[in-house]
Amino acid sequence: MAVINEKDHHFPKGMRVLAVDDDRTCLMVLKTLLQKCHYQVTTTNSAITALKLLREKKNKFDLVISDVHMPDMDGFKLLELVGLEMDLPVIMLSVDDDPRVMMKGIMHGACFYLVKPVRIEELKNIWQHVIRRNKHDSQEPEKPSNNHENPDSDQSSKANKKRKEQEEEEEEEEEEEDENDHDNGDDPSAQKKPRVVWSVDLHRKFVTAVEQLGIDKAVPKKILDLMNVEKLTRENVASHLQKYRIFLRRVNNMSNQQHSNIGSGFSSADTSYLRMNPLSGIGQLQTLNNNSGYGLRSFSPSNMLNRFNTPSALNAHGFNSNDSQFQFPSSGLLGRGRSNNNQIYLPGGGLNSVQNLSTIFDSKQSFCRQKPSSPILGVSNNGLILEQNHQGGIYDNIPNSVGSSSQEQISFPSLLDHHHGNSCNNDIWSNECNTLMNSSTFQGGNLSGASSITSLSSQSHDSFTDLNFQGVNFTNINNSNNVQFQGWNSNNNNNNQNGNYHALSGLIDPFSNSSFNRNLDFDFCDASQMKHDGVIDLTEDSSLKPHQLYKTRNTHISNNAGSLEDFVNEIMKQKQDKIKLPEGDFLCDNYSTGGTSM
Amino acid sequence: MLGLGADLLWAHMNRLLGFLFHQGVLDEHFLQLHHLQDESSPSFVSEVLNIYFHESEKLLNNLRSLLMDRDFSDYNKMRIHLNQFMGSSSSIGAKRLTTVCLAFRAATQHSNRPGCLRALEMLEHEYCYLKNKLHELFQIEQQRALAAAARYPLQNNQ
Repeated sequence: MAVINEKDHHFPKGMRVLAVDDDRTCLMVLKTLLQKCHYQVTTTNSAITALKLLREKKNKFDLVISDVHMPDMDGFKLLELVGLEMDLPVIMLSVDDDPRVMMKGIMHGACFYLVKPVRIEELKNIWQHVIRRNKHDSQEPEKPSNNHENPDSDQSSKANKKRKEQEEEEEEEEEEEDENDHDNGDDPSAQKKPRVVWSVDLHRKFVTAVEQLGIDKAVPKKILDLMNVEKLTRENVASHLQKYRIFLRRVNNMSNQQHSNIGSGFSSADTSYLRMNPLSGIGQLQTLNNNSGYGLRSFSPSNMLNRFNTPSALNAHGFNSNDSQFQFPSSGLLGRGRSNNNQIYLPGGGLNSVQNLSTIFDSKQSFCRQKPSSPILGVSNNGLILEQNHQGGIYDNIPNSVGSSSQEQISFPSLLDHHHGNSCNNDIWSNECNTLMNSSTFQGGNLSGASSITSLSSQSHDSFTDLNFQGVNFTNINNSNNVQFQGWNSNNNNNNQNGNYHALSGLIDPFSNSSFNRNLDFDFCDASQMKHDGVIDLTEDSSLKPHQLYKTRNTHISNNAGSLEDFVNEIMKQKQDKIKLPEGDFLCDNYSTGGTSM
Repeated sequence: MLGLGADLLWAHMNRLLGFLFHQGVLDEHFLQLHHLQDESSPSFVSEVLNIYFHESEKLLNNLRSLLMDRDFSDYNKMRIHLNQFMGSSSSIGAKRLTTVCLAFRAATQHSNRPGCLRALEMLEHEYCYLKNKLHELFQIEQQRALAAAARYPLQNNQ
């Protein structure tokens, strides 16, 4: 319909609606509601008048909303006539919610059937019907409308590229939804291909492949070959790769930003996480995930989560399966008791790739969180959700639990970021995940992961402290090699033997009330404390942020780089003494298993 | 003094509103009405309610006359009126009234005349109750506005 073209710039504002209802009250309410949505509204009580109006001014209306039961003419009849003569979209309206009546309406050609009482939210989206109809009629994609229509255009579309950035986030969220229901805008490639769901395993394969190839050299074709998955097309991989890249970029950015904010007490590793802070990347991730409340869901779930969740999980990328390090207590960090990968929710919604992951992770697994808010990872819902609420130091608002949003921000992005920054190890994702996971899991109620975090921190100490994550040390969490974290922190060497994992835990720990802190006295969990104590301080010292965090707590951790190591070491020691996490399960369990994980 | 009165009235109004919500007499659509009221339509709520009461009286009268008719048998016609009544009631957020309408509708579908009668009575009762309460609410609001205006005459002039 040519009509739309006129309103290109403002659509859907100014869309011209004709409302027909014999009930004056409803009509008045409807009119006002529509006006509130910035539509141009004409109203009439009678269907006959409505038809007359429509016939007189053929192109003067974009949409008709009509009541079903009217005294002078049946609403369905009006619907048919309008459809035949003017080919306008018609929305039926009635107090009757009988599905048979609704069916009848749709069969007669109604675009939609609204049930009274109408809410303004429902009316805000009715312009879609106009667009869809126009699209079908004209076959020309209306640019503005297309954009409107498919904010989340399919990811696998090649033509997605131009919109991918803006849409990816949304896409991620709706990845599972059947977007084919909407017109896929002008996207020619939006053929109704079966959607590819990037499951944890799939993503893990993907990340593995990418890491093997090297992030710079990873081309979809090669990735596809390496992954060796049936029915996966190059396009799927390409779009996923785009998202992944964006995710990494975001993480990078976030980690850079984090330097200043970290307040999280995480040790270097933490910092990275913290850095990731919500504000930037994580936040995005967060937005991406929303449902279960997990923040980052999307972090390569497979990798990260796996690692964290299960003791053996960590090995996805490079982590060995020795979970000794991470031993995520199944219930612990990640999800207490759950060893699934899904737990890691990376905060932030920014990362598209993360988003993907989030879908993977999506589960409501509670990451470790027993406490809803793990400070570190923002495990809001039991999981590691890295929420990105805070801009400031990660730990700013860390509520006791790791979940606090502040946390989330931190770890993840930074982790990833660093990782990315350096020559990310293959484990990038895993590393990050791990770290995060660790933290998150640790957070789990009290950071049971504390120990793990510590280890993590220690490891990442190097890396974490230095936000420039050089490599993904985290991945090593499992391995407890510092090596991995090295990447993270260029400055410090990794002391963290235990690794990343511990470090992470340490990081997280502080925030969470995990018992882990126990000896450290960290009360990381106590967000407020953190804030005052050290979390904020951390920001000052980028590299040592975690240290500081610890410091405040009265740990012996000094503020400088070295302190973290010390701290971590302390923790580790304590750990070995069987630190008891309140939550019990995870850290201790895991750690003890690994013994050394920390 | 006046100021104090305005505050008291405000509190009274809120209490009444809260009470009505709590009782299920009103629901969020009533609030939506208020949200639609702004500078461009400053008395939207009262206008809508006036129209509503006016129309509803007519509908109720129709319903009653239909039911009272000894030769009554046209449930369809009653359903039409009822539908309209239900539509407008739900649009303004009269939850309890709408619920009674549903019961009424079910009775008509089963051609249950006594049931319809009972439902009609209940409907009328609820309607009167709602009307009274809304009137009261409006009166308080008007008084409050007056009191507030009187309280700060200078401000109003500014």
